[in-house]
Amino acid sequence: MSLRLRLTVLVASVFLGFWLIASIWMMAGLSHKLEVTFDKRLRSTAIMLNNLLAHVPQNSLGDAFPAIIEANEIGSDKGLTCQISSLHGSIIASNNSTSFPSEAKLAQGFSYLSSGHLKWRTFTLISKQHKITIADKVAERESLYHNLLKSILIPPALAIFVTLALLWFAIGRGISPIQLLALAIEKRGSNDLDPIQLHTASKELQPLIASQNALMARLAEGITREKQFTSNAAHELRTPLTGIMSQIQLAEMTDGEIQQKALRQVKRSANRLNAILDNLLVLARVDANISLQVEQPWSLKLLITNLLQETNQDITRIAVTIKDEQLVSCIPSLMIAIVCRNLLDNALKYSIPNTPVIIEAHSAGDFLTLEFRNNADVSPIDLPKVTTRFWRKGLVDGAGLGLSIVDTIAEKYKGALTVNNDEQIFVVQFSVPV
Amino acid sequence: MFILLVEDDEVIADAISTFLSNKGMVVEHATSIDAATRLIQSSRFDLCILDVNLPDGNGISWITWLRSKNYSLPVLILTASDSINDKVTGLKNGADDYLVKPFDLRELLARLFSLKRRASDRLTNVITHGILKYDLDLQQVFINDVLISLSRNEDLLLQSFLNNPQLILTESQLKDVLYGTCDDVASNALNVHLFNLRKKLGSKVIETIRGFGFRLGKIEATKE
Repeated sequence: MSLRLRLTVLVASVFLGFWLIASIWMMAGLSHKLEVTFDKRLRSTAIMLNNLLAHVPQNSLGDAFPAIIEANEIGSDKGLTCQISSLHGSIIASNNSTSFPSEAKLAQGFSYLSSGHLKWRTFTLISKQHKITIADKVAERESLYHNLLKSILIPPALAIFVTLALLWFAIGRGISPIQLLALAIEKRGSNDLDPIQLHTASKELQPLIASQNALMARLAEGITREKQFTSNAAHELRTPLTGIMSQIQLAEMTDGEIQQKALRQVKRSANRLNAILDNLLVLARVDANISLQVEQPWSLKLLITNLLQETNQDITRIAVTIKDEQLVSCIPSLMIAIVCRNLLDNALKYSIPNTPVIIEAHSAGDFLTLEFRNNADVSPIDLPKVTTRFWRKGLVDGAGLGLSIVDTIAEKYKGALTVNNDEQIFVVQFSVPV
Repeated sequence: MFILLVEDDEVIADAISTFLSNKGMVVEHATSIDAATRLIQSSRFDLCILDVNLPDGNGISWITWLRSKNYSLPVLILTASDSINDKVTGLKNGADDYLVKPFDLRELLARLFSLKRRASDRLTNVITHGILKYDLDLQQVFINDVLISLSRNEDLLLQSFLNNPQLILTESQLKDVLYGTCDDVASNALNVHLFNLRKKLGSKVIETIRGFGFRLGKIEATKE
């Protein structure tokens, strides 16, 4: 059901409901008032007639009969029926001797009387000399009541239909901004991420459109980032793959030293491919927000010592200082191992050869902090880019994911990664709250 | 052919260089746009193989720069992106062909020949100069359909002259063709190869233009 129809039905139902109750109330009130008015008329007529008869001498009442009977003979059975009878029950005069029952014995006051298919409302006044009965047909009363109802109810009923039509039109106009918005959304292609622009949007719809546009913008940004990532990942994976394939092809075509060299190059590219895949998997795990539980508190000093022993790089350049050590339980050791490996790898790879790499770490207090310092010339222009995914500088093997992974881990654990370069000393600081 | 290879990945560059050298070409390798710019300003290359993503910039921008400086050498771009937009952008900016990584070395060679053929307005991989025919695919020279055996360096020199029949090639350019941009080449080595070439193909096959260099001569007149 359309919103317009729904709103119209709802408002019309309420409106008609109220109108119906008011009408029933009015009809009930009208019926009662009419009944009282008609009864008053019967009573007044009876009293008036009684007063008239009181001024007629008793012995001359008979002279008046023909006139009354004559009046009766006019033959109209509409209007009031009047019957004068003696106290003994003999009819003295009646203007409707045909349909009104003359033999009825009526007590003083109001009562109903049925005669055949007719029903009467009567008022009987009994004086010392005679009995006066004034009667009204109930059917006539009802007819009058219905005619009155018709004349009262028809104009409002017509007004209701006009009102409903106006309501349908007004609701249509009122919800037209919603209809325009629906149309604008309906017209969009599945890949259309442009903002919705409605110049006639009402104040109430503005937040909805703004939120929709913000969502679209975030979605577009996400898709662009995703595409960029996929494109970069494809590039990074294809480069060593090309190296492997072309060197294998070369090895197939040649022999001797050239072939051996080609095979060595294949191995080199395979190692690089493996490292890139490892990094991508780590990044995917961190990005996917897979939360690793800290099974038991671990030692930062032990972790760094083990890492240095495992590395196949020149560790004589590395100086490690661990201050205020206490067991860590705020972040899994695996995450810090990834952080340390990436920062150490970067420090050794990008530093000036044979210059020291200094590692300072502490896990006491409010933060767990790792600081790596090495001699490297990173320009101020490049500093903001170092955490960008796939960003690399110079001819160094690597996918440009190391610092990006560390930055993502810092973000996931509500920490921070800062990079600085001061007089050719490149400082990377990773910290997470304990 | 004297090829400029601009590629920052050492493994890929090594494979291409070795493969093309085995196919009788001389490859000069640059790892950055900066190095490539210096090389292009000092030597005359027949073709350029260019990687799009380089450490100091984008290869496509470099092609734009090349064309703005009126360098007309054919450029084949190597790209890891298979998106149509990237290919179209490269071709619109002056690249002559492209290859998506990973590629087959044989396809690379075929495309290089194709580029050179188009650049020289030839329809096939056979260069004809009078009664001399040079088959680029087989790297064989025929005079009156008789195979003439040439050494690698003689072959390289002949290819250079045949690819640039109207041009006077300087001694320096010919040395580049033979040895790349190495400086430590014996001064008379080029003359020895030219002498041998004249001996095998005729004394007037290479004309000496005094004070300038050398040019391809008329083969009919030199036939012995």
